Amino acid sequence: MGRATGRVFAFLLAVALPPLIAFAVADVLADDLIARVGMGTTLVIAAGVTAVWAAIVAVGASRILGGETRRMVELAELGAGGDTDARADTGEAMGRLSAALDERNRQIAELAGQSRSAPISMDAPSVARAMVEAARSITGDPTWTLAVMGSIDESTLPAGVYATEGDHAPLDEVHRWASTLEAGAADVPGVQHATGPWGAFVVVEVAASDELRAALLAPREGRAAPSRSERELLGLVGQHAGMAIEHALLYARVRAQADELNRLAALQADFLRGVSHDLQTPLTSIRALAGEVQAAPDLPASANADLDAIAHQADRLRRMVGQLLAMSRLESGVLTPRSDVFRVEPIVERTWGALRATDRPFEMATEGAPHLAIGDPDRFEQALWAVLDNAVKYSPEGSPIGVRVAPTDGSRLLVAVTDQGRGMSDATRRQAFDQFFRSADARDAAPDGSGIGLYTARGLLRAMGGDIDASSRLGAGSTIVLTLPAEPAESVEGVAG
Amino acid sequence: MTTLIRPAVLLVDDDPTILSVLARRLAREGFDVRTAPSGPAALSALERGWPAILVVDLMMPGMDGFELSRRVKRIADLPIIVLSAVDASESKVRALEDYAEDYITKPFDPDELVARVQRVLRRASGGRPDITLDGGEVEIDLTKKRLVTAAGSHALTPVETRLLQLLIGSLDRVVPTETILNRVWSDADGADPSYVWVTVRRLRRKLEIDPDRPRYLLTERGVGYRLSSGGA
Repeated sequence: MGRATGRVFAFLLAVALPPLIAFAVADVLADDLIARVGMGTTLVIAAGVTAVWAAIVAVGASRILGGETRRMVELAELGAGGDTDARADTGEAMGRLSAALDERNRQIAELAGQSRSAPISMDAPSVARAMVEAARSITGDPTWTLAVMGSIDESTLPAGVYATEGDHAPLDEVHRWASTLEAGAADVPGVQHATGPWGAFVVVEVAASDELRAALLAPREGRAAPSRSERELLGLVGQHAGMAIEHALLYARVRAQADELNRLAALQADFLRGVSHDLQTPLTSIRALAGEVQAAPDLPASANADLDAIAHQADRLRRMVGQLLAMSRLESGVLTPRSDVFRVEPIVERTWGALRATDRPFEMATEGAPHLAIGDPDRFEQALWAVLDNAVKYSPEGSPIGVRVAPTDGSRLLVAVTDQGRGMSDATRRQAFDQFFRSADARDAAPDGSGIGLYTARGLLRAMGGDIDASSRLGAGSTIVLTLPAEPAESVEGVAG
Repeated sequence: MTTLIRPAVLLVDDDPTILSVLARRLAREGFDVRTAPSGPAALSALERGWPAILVVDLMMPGMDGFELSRRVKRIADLPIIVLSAVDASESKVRALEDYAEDYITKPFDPDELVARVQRVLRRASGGRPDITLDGGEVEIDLTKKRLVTAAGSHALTPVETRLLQLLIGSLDRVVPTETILNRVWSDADGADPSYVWVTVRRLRRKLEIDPDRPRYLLTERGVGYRLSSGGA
């Protein structure tokens, strides 16, 4: 690639690469960054980065385009001039201009094509390599290399970045030396000539931080010095390089943390699933055995009542284990509920019966045209059980509990559970469906709750295309509304013929 | 059970408590119950005589329920119900659906097992696993639980699959709504005719070009439904 092409490449790189990296980093890291340094600092960083890029791009564009325009104007003036001696030159110059423009257009199209098809690499080595490539393109000199010092693990940088070691000097030592250079009195900031124990180099300072010190460098022996415009572009590349590499390193670090967190979460989910599975087989036996003994003739009434209690408690335990399992499945994304048609009223009655809250007046009202819900009846029962269990837990003994079943807009069915309990404050209501959330009030009323019931209920209902919501006033009871997709329970038309 | 011949059930589970309690429960329902504590024991029990249905625990040491079901299905089309501590959403059970007629997730109510066994035995067996309607306009694959029309490919729910299996077994003949209810749902589901209506309506959206003017899944008013092989 020639120098002119090199400039265009560097310009495209300068314009396109940093914002791409910034956006990719911002997209991936925004949450983590906000969590780590706070929203305010994140916005300041974002604004700062944007402003720096805007300035750099503006300066770079005006220099490059300015230089090219000057040259074209010179050629055009030459062509328009009446100097006969210059005519032959003029014709030649116009031809060169035309050819150069054609070539330039072709190269721009090619580069644009490459940049569209190239994957965006976010790792520090790729970014470093891109910067070295930019320096090589600008000067047409393949000996440019990047020296990285500081707390960066050099083993993470690929050999490719240092591939032009040549026979000048031990590269490690050159890097060490270059990165200790003081900023010299250069005409272009950040770009200087320096002579060390291994000869003369062009050294481009890479925008450094405490953690990252780096320099782009190329041996000078037997080579023409870069022109001023080349040095200016090199200076820009140096500034970009530091920022881009730091972004990439930050990205890599946060991603490693995220990977570790994901690994721990998966471990926890596995553990939960294993424990739940181990609980299920004995539970099945207990339930079934209690039922078998109850089926025996001539059982004393007291024994029957005890067996009933065993079956009831086993059932409760089964439902709780079921909740734990459902939670772990929701979190690992493997819960795919069935999509059956079912009537919710018998499930409401059965679930209420399973709670054995015999001291509570219970009423179920069905409104509107009959509808069948679409979803997984077992999962709906699981969600409903959590809601009804809460209603009983957090309302005074003897107070009534009501369930209203009603179609909404013809395609949904709502099941509203209302209690006359202590109710929830607005703050509590907003957090009621959060995992492990238990208000101080709730801990007071029922110290044995786990805070997973409503959280799991919401996950289950949403997985079936439904949802759950709460309305409540402190001291005036709560209404929890479960919704599910539904269809009218009407006969279908479509007679043969 | 009202049949005079008691249908035989082979129960396979490595947990002796479960084995004994389920055996007693099924025996009370009138089944001839045999038990086996492992996969190999089940295979040798099968050599001595075929039951009407096999109930298998998925997680057993050595040969698990998956492997046992696979081997059994290679020999004969014996209906299988799988007991499992994992639920249907997990890949292992999904793969098992190729071999098993039904599965029950532990912990379950023994009544639920009885209802499922009865439903599987009620179901007409030996239906064709796949079929095309209207000279290839519609392809139904019951094994893969898929239905393909010009409009695309649709996954079938277990209930839809059972309904189509029943209708395919009586292709071009009317199946009464009552029969559909008995064969497609178990007693424990508490289904009523509206379950059939809504399921048919949803199935038509997958099967028919215009669900309001069905050509394949037809209503015989006041009687039931029939699947038309040629397209009405």
